[in-house]
Amino acid sequence: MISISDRFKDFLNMAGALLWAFLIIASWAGGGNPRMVIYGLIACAAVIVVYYLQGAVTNGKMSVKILIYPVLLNALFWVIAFSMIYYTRGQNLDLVCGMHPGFLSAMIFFWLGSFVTATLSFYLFFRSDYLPDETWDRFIASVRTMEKIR
Amino acid sequence: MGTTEQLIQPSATTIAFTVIFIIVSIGFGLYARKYAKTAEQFFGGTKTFGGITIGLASAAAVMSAFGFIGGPGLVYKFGFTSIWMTIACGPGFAFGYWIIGKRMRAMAEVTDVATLPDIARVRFQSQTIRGLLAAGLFLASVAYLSSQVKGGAKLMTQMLGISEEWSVVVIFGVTLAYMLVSGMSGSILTDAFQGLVMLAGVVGVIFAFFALTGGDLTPIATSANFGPSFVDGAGAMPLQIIITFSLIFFLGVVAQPTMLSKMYALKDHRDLKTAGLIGGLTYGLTSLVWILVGYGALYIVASGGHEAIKDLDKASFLFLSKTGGVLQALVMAGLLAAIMSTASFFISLGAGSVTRDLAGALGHEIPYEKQIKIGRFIQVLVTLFAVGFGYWGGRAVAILGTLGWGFFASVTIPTFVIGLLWKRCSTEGVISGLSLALLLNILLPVLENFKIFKLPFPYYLLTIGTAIIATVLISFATKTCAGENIPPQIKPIFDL
Repeated sequence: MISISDRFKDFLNMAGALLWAFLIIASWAGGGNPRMVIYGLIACAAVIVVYYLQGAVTNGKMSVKILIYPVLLNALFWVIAFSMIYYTRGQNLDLVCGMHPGFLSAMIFFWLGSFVTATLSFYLFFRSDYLPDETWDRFIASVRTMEKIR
Repeated sequence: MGTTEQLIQPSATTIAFTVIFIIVSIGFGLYARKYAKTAEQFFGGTKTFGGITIGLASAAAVMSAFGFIGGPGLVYKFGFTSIWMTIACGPGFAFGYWIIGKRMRAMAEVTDVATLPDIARVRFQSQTIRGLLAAGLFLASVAYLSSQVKGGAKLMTQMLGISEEWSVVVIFGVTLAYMLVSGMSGSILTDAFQGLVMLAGVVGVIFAFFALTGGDLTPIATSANFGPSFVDGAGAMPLQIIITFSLIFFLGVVAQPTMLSKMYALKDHRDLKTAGLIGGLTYGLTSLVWILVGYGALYIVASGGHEAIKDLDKASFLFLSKTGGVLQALVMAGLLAAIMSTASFFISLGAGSVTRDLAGALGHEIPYEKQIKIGRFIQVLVTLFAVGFGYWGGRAVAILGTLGWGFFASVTIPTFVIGLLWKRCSTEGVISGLSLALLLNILLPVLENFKIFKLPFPYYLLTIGTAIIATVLISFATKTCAGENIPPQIKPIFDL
């Protein structure tokens, strides 16, 4: 298990803020410098990791299994998809199954890849990792000892 | 508003589908009355519905007319670029549940939740945040509703052959009718039904697309009018726009009020699992409409089946004109479902923001027992105002019409995503983020619309990024409701 401490979350949020600043810069500069665009797209993958690492934890911990799938795998699929569309853009290539290779990679790696990682994993790991019954019961027990906040 | 060219001739099948759809929607809305007894249920549907209902309703409310009309129009003009928005959204549902679902649902155990500003007020112990958020939600609700007016009018004209004015009366009159009876609970239940109708429409689109094109985009790739950039994965818009579209629509799904508010509408915490799955899959399937209808329209023009179109909103109707009978009726019913499901949610959101939150933030808390009655009155005002604005607003509609997805993300990500994930997120941090978000979301579209200044990328990337950066930096320097100062009832949320 990996500990996601409060101090680590401080670091993650600062990293997130810097990444957002970079995204704005990359988008602004990307018109004149396409290379900034691919850097910006890779930064997008990093941003989702930042939020995954804060949200997909239970009791301040994340299992290695969750870190790999969906967190890092989701980001990897994005990097592959973005790289493919970047390097094949505007090119007159043979269609694959009726689709341009860039189109196909966006649909396979970004769309389907994100479904297989984010969506399927949420369903599969909901009770075991995301919200075990005992975690919720413990939460309810602690809330019931206090008056409702208004 | 003008007249719409009649690309499709209303048929008995289409009219029958439309009438049945409207009657059933009203029926569900009226049935939901029993789930609208308390203010929490009327404004929020709080802790009322199961995972499948919430999943379907979330997807239906997120997929608006834009996904059926505007999106395909952008595909027609620019190829794949706009599709990044919709392919990011589908899997974004589950991502949103991963990062914040259990915490949002948990807030309904800690306090009496009816609206999103309720949660913000309780987390940050601040009427200022409540007021800022409520004002922003109200403004954007009106903007969203107004932007549905035009699309809805054109649709009903095609479906029923009636004037655009009567189209508006039918769509918004029917929606308001069941909203008055059952509020957000009615919206959720009818949205779930409308989500199923949209799925049926998707099936129709898939069949129609492959019957038309055989799944081969070669005519588009080799067309002198279009070419490889219309079939590749980047499209014809400036490349840097994909940064915004991919991230803001993936992360931004959870930031939409349509998603956030449904998380605390779940009856049981275990329903989060189904809601996250069903919502994402439903939206993902309906996003095929955006892709296939857009490429279908491109194929028709590229293969010489129709002259090039200038009004991008016609792309969808051009595609539908090549289908017929039940298929056409099914798809158009799906489009009507998209419009009404979105409209019903924002009528409720706008009314709740005024009744519960703006009034309270300004020191005039409306007595609990009067909130539903006054809320109904405000729903009528919101609807009339939005429709009038959409009809006569002219340039203002174009400006405010851009307030939508990005605007919501810029106010809710700092407040709820960062606020419920990071203990150090302070009241001062969120106030800073919200204030900048509100300012920039008005200023930038005005500058753009009056051709004074335009960013080389969608302006909402700047507003969202700025709001987040400000929230984080100010939070590091301040302490109200942060760290050890978080209200004790909220602390267990961070241990989930």
